[in-house]
Amino acid sequence: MQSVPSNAGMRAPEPVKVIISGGFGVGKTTFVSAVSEIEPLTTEAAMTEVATGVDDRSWVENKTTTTVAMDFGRISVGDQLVLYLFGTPGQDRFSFMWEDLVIGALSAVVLVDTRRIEDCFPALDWFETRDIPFVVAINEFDGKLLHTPAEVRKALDIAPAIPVLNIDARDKERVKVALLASLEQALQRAEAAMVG
Amino acid sequence: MSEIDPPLVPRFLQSGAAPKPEVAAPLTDGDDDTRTVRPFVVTGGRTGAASPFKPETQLVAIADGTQHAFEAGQLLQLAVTPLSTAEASAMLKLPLQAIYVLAEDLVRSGAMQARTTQGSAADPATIRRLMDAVSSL
Repeated sequence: MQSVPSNAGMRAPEPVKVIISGGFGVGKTTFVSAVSEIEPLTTEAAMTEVATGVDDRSWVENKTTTTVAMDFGRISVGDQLVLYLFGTPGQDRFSFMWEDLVIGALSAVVLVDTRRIEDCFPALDWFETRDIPFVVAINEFDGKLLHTPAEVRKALDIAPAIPVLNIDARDKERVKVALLASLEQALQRAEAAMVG
Repeated sequence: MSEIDPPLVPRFLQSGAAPKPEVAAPLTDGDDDTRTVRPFVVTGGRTGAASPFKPETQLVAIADGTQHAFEAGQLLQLAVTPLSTAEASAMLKLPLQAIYVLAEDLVRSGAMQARTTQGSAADPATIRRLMDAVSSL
């Protein structure tokens, strides 16, 4: 009954994703663009005040809907596997939409700006609670490292098994290191799951 | 409804007992949950955890986009090469949830194939392939 398929043999690649998170303006989009094969794209998700359950009312007043933007990039691995890097919307008030974004993620990178270290708390809480493997990457601004990884680890009370790295989100090689460390966490998790 | 061109009707349905096509059927998935097509427009997009679509879900067109209505046709034409719902959303300048709705309808009608992440169930070999790919960027 169906018309002749024009694209019948094609199979969709398997998508996987890593979440790039942290506070507003911490360098998530810069991080993504350092390694993405496409210019980071922005997608908008529609939200309503009714459905959000967010207590900050200032942004919903006189509005029935609002949109949040998230930036993302892509790394294709052959034609049957594709890795997406999704930057979470920066503001805390949008954390309610992370559920949709984060479920099914392999791992995450939590970016930290040591000038505003508390901005990463929601991200840390989220990934710890959801048991998603992550690493912490301190984004140096202007080459200045205000706090050492050891200090940040202590301040954030990061478990010893979780790497804390210095990066510069503009530097492709150092972004790769952070991404690899994050994937390594996912790998350890996957291998442990196979054994146990 | 009985005027359907016989060649289009499978032989086993050509008897007098052929069930009538239920026009409303695509609006539900057959479960008692009738919210398969969610009121995205009304809610402005909160689909809840029930939506099988995710931002990374891959879409591939099976049918010809020129045979479909405006946005659905555009989506099919974009998906001639596989892409994610997020990419489709960015390119068509539609909210993600609108893409979910369009894609869900197209998949249900057999015009599109979708594949979503296996997520935390990814096997070590897949993760190693990703790491190799990132290393060689």
